[in-house]
Amino acid sequence: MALNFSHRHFSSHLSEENKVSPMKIANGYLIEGISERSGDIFSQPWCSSIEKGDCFDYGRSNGDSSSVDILDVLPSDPFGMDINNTFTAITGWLEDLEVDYNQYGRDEIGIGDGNRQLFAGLSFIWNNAMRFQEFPESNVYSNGSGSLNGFGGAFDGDGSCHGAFISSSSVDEVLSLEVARNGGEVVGSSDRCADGGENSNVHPAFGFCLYHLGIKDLLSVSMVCKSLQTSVRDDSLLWKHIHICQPLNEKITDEALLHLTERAQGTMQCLRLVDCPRITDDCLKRVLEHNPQVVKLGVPGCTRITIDG
Amino acid sequence: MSKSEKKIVLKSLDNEAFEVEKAVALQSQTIWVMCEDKCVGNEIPLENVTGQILAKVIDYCKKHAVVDGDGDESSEELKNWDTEFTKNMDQSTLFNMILAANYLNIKSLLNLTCQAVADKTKTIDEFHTFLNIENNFTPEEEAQICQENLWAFDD
Repeated sequence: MALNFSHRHFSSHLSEENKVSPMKIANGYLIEGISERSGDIFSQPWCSSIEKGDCFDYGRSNGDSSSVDILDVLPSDPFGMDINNTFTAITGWLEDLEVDYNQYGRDEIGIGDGNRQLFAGLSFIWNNAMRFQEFPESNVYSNGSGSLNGFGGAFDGDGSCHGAFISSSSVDEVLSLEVARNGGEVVGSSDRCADGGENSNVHPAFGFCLYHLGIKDLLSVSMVCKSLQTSVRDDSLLWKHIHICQPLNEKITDEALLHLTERAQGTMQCLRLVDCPRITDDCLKRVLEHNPQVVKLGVPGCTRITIDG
Repeated sequence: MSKSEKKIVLKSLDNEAFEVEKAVALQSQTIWVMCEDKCVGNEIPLENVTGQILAKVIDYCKKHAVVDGDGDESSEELKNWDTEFTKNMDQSTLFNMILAANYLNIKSLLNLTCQAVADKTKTIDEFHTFLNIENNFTPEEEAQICQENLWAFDD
């Protein structure tokens, strides 16, 4: 979840402008040539970093298909680093391109000498290339922002803004990951969702904390208010690893376990049931049928589970 | 991590500057990437972390850099330090720390602060107070969800 911020791209612009990419050269050239417009060049990355979910969703959607193309033209190879860094780098690159595009637009209006036109042409080609890659992403982006809105709206409980600072776009990006799977549902369920994520009632940081809560606490959270209920229930990531031990072990029934495991939406990887006397073979079988991805299973002390099961 | 003595200046949202050793700052993956790409000078602006929060983050990083560096302090002591570190933070500081740790991509700090929040709240009422939100279920919805979760809360 590396979050990247504009100043970085902005600076990278200046320091890397001499690299081989014609796009960069065009950009550098324009910066030198039209100094009075440089304010615009700078303003673009700042704005784009504020767009919620932008960075993140771009990065994520780049995962497979288009990242190959992007890799070819990246100024430096980010894939040697971990995947978060890759997102950052790709996003930075896209923002650079956006800047170029804007710059090109302006350049067209105030046509200067032949050289500039040449560069503008190059930049145009680059932008075209970039646009092809961008289309599938922008689709994903709009989905992402849908889920983001869903999250924000979902947390928009009683209208009073919950202090602190919610301005950070980084959180929104990450939160959009958490609700990415259920965004559509949330949007559908509440009109307030259209309001966007700015006035969230629950502090955005709380989203991170959910992953540190046990099963019982998660159930408590889901009983706090509607929005939390939705986000806990529909976030399959939270239910990927289910570990039942004290004090829930004696209480959990077949029905309850099936209910919990359903929430993982088939993605559950780890199930550990310690001393759960009420769980039966039949139930476990059904759970595993629904969650083919389970790689770890532990059932110590479950007296009603037989070896056959 | 290289042991260079080079210093980095981190500048907060409210323009407070903090000079720290590179080894300290590089615990943040975000800063690490910035430095690796050589796209920043010696001064790094961090425009969504306030000075107050950044000071705490740097405290944390300093402590952990020392321990990682010479290994003299036991992990036990570090754990105690971590506990003390988060113990007296109020809700909004904790949340802002989480945001900062996320932004700066310091995994251990993110885990620590999230865990601290998780440890602070246990019951439904605590969540209401801690998050400062009201129960907006209709009675029917509440009855339904209580029914669903009855098994876990039935004492």
